[in-house]
Amino acid sequence: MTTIITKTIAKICLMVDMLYSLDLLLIGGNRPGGGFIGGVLCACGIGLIYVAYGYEDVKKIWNPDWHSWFGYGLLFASITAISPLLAGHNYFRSAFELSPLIVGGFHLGELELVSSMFFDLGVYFVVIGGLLFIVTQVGMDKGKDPEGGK
Amino acid sequence: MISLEQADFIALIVLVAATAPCIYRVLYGPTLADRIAAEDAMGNALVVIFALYAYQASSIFLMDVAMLLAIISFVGTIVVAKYLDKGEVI
Repeated sequence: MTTIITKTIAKICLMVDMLYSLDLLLIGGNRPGGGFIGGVLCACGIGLIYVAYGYEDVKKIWNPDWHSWFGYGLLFASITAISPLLAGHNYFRSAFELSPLIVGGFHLGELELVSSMFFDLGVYFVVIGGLLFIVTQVGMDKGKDPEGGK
Repeated sequence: MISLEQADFIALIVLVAATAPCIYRVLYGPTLADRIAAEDAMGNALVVIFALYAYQASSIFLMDVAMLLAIISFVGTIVVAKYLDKGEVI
């Protein structure tokens, strides 16, 4: 448990982290960003909540299996990588399509749909699951340190 | 009267000079808390350096670097501060 200042700042920082992490995930491919750094930022926000509130208290409210996030993300990225082989294209071939974006009768421009977005999504879940699995496993290991801690 | 680019360059020089005592304190700090405080100050100076250099180089991409560095440096400082206080991280 930490002070009330740390808890309040952690909650504010979590919102900024999640928003910027989704932004980095969505703009990846055209600008600097992508699944990896978005996942690192998301894991930073959730890890900060773990640090500020304590692992045992957060576990009562929300306790996902981070290792299964890792596994499903890896499976998703692998399926995306090998699916062009079924259509006769190369490994990791990415499809690309521009579709018109019309909302309420107004033509707002073109929406860019790429299939590498799914690979980035898989990498996103692999990074979140891997980093938070390590953090929670190391945090649960309360070893007897003779000179560290009170 | 100096222009905005020259003022930006002078600010860059001052901030790079400001990281030098932080590096000294990180290397030769007597306690761990001194090193962490110096590392946090150096991280904040680096964020402003990236933001100023983004204007100098006319590149919007370096602002992403500045924002990421600000968030990750803050999280690292919180984690080490809790380790120094309680002796455990989470």
